Amino acid sequence: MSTHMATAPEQGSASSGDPILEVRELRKRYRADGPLVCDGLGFRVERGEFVAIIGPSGCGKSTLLRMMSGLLAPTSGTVALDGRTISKPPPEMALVFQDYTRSLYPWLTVEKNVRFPLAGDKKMPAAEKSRRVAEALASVGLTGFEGYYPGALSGGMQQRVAIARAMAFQPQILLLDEPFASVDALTKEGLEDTLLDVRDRLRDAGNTMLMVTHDIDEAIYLADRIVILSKPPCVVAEELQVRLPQPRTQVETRSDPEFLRIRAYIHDVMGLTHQRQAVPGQQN
Amino acid sequence: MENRLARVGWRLLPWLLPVTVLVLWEYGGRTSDSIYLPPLSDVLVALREDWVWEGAQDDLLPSLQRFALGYVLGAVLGIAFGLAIGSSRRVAEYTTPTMEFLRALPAVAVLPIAVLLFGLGNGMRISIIAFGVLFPVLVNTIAGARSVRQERVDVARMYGLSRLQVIRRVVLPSAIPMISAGLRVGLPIALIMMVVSELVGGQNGIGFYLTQAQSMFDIAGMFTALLILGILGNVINAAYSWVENRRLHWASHL
Repeated sequence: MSTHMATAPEQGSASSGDPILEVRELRKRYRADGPLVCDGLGFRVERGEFVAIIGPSGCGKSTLLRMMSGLLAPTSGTVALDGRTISKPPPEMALVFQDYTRSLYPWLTVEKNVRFPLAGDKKMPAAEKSRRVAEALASVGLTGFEGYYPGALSGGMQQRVAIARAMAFQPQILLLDEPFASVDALTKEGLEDTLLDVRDRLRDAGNTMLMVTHDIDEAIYLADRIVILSKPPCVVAEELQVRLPQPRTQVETRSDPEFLRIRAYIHDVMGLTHQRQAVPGQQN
Repeated sequence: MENRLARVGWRLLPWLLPVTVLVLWEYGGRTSDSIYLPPLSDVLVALREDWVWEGAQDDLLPSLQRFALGYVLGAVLGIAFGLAIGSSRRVAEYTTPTMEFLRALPAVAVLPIAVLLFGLGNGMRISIIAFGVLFPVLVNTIAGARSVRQERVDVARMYGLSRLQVIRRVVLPSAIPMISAGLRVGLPIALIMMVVSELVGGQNGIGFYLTQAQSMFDIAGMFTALLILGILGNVINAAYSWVENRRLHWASHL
């Protein structure tokens, strides 16, 4: 146990206002005799919020995300979108996966990958589709790469294609499953800022973002609110407000005393802080 | 200068063996008394007489038509069944034992049954070729469809694609590299089944020509049929590689 407990930042779940997504008493077992992955998990997300969900690895974050997106049926409990319980992937949602190499379609060009979510929409005119695709690619800085195949791009660029694909769909809720976990640290900072840019552009449209991550710093840097999950079977351990000034920048935001305070607190909550022994004979 | 000479030498090396074989063939044919080894030049004369161009129209063209029809039929059925079995566990449970049984049958052994069922016409020959092609394509399509990344299916489901659309737009393209390997294996099998099916009760085709030449003791004629088949096999294989290289460049990033 740590000797100095970080002072608690402002806690709190979404104020009742206008929840777009509500998760109630969610439980999941993959097999009838298997272990519980989630045990009565519940929280709400307000319209326009950016919520980050963090938890120790293996705590069922991805399971939770698949249940929230309607891809996986919970054993019990409900996920409600705008008050309606969902039973299949709702048209208002888009999802960006962690591993871009597995979620992009390597047989389609960048342009066709981004157009993929719109291809089935017979009512939308082709010109509107092209406009959305061009806009989405521009918003992640990939104009000019339309004709490339994903395999010819770097990892960071491929993940930007995946984000652009979700943007072209213009979802009300964007779910992100550890979106930057498989890129290097520098690329990751760039992608985080790309995501914040996209978010600024969509904030007025009431766009909601929900990100699952195991990266505490990334969660604080990006989110308005953080939901911390417990060890498995997961429940909500704590919810924190992140009151950091906008716009956020990599250097200033990350050295803000509030950022450091939240960071220390989350480490405490997750039991990650441990006191290191001084090495004998070493002096500063 | 020496370098260039060496390079030309390396280029020519692969041709050394076939040229030697042909020269030995000619030499052996001329010096030996056996009627079973006509010299190459005699075979080439027979080739011109029998195959340019009337013979090509009478025997080569019908063979190629049956080959193409049977191959396409077998490939389409293999891909369709393969996708159904590969993307539905229930379909797989119902069909696997039957498939495994049929797959173990040598296609050639089915020939007498096919003759009884379809008679001695084109229907029998085409279905025999299709039967031979079906299984390598089917088995590879099943494996390809099963190896589709869950994330790619999930993405398509998130964007509201129906089960059938997911199969057509995600599972099928994901399986294409495997399917392509199956289609390649099917090519020589189709060629074999084409010849075999023409050996019984035919009126035309390369296999028919072969049996005619044999019954007339036209040894040179039999060799021309072998030459034609060898060239045909190589041309078809090269054409397939060319198409595959152009269409599957993305597959190395799967």
